[in-house]
Amino acid sequence: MTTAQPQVTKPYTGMSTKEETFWSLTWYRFRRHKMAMISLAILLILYTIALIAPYIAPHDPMDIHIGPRFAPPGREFPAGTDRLGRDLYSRLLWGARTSLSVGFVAAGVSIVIGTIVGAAAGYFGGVVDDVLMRICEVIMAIPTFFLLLTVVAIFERSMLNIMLVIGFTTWPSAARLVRGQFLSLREMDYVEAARSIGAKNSRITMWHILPNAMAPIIVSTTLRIGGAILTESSLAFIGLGVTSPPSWGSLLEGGRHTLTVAPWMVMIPGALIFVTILAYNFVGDGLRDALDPRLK
Amino acid sequence: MTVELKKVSSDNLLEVSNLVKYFPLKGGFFRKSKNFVKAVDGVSFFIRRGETLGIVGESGCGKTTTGRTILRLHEPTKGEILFDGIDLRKLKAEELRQKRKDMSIIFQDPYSSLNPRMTVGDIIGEPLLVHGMTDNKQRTAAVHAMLEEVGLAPYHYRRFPHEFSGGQRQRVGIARAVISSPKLIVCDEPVSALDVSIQSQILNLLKDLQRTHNLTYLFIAHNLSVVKHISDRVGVMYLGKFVELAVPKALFAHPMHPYTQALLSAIPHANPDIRMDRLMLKGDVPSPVNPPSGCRFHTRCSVAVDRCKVEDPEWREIRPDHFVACHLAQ
Repeated sequence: MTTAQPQVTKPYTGMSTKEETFWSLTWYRFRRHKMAMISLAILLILYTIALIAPYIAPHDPMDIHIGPRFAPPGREFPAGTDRLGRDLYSRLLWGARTSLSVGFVAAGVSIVIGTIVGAAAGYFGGVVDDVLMRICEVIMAIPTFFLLLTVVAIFERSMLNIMLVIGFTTWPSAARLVRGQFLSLREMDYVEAARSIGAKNSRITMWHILPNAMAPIIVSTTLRIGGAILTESSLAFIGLGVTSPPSWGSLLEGGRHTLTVAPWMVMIPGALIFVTILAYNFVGDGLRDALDPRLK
Repeated sequence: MTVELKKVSSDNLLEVSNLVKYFPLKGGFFRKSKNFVKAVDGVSFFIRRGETLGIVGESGCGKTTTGRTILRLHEPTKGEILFDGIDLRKLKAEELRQKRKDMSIIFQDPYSSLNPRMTVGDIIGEPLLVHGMTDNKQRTAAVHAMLEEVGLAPYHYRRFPHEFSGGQRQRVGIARAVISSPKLIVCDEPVSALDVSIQSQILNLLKDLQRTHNLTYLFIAHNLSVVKHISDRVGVMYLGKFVELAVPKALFAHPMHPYTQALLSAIPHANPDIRMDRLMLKGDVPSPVNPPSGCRFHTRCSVAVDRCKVEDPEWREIRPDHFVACHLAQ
């Protein structure tokens, strides 16, 4: 027979001792998503490469006649050369810069405008909502790609312009998403509570509604970055993309006429675009599950 | 003479006359709506400084809407809300925002009324922040004092609402309502979402705070014993209107309105051997979209006469401090 040992326990406080913040819980759930974690690693590697491209690229991406024309991938030129004898490996590294920043900035522009418009429409409702949503619908009624073509044809095809154009043509769907969030969240008791204590509209939207609407906004942003990269690639493929320094889409376009002679010119940038967008989609899915466990 | 006048009017912190709140039902294509939910339809009462006015009634009778409309969380359709001598309906948005320092609300559901992304300290301190106490040290000190007063510990300051139990969350809600030292607090069924064992703790906390902070409560509930316990006067609502309002003793001993009588007879008794004559009401509460003509209760009233069907009974003070809206009461 054993005697009961007096157990020394901490006083029960009704809560865990570890501070469980929203973000630590999200990270915990995200980590369990294998594909999302792999994708996140891939994206981190790609962004690192893009950041240090000027230091690791063996040649200037624009220099011609560095090697023979259409040299296949080998020891000297890891990704071969193109029809002007430019080093494709260096061009791909620099292309990562262009493509990834286009995706990032375009999605950022899109989500920022979308959030502001959607928040105003959803929070104030009534006439404000009607007017803003009609504007969104007008923009959405025009097929995005043709709208893009028109705008790109009018303005100079600099990297900044392409980013802005993609952002400015894709924000309405973000606005609708945010509006929906605001419409449902503004009826929450804690929003009413904030109003009852005399918080200003700016405070209510910034501190009470927006943080609670962040989950779908973040997910949408990740998916948008992938979408923007793809859109830029599509533009580039028909010759309207960023060319100096070239984006992956432009490299793809540069190789399509010589597909039989130098297939690597298409395959490598194509694979990179494919992997990046797939990675963004997996990260987006992982975040969706991690941020909103109720969806499972 | 002016002094006297002031004294008479300052007895009542809140005077509500003929308050009406209709919610439009979503109409057709152009959002025009002909039908309204008549949630509150002509309510008049007053609350004296420092007292607790309880409002009881079944679900959907307009108790909550009354509470929120008084604070202009819902825009009133008609009527006058005289709060501390000021007509709240005439205040502009910014003036009203400033005035919110003097009135607050405690919500029924302690789970949905706290922002899940804010720490408890930030939630409780927010009323001070929005009303100009921007100094962090000062505010933190005030919040810590408040935490202690509502029975929470200092280390709760940095916690998030989801780490708390229902009762603790309600304490947070109470702390938020009290910290700006308001004059009036609308308690919107503050204990109905809690365990019975916690209910009494929260009620006692509310009573203590009322004493120490000179608070006036509008206490909304559907539990008669809770209301009896905490209120100085009790009003009974039915379908958007008050039917009776009196001190609990008078109301519970001599209910005048047939609806109050039926309501009181429904209170369960602790002793199962006592046979009680239940006044069973027939049918359901009519829709507040199309309330019955005349007295709203006549469709279910056992003593209704022809007059009740056509004439809306007057809200009259039948005895001192005993108001009733019934043709037959005397």
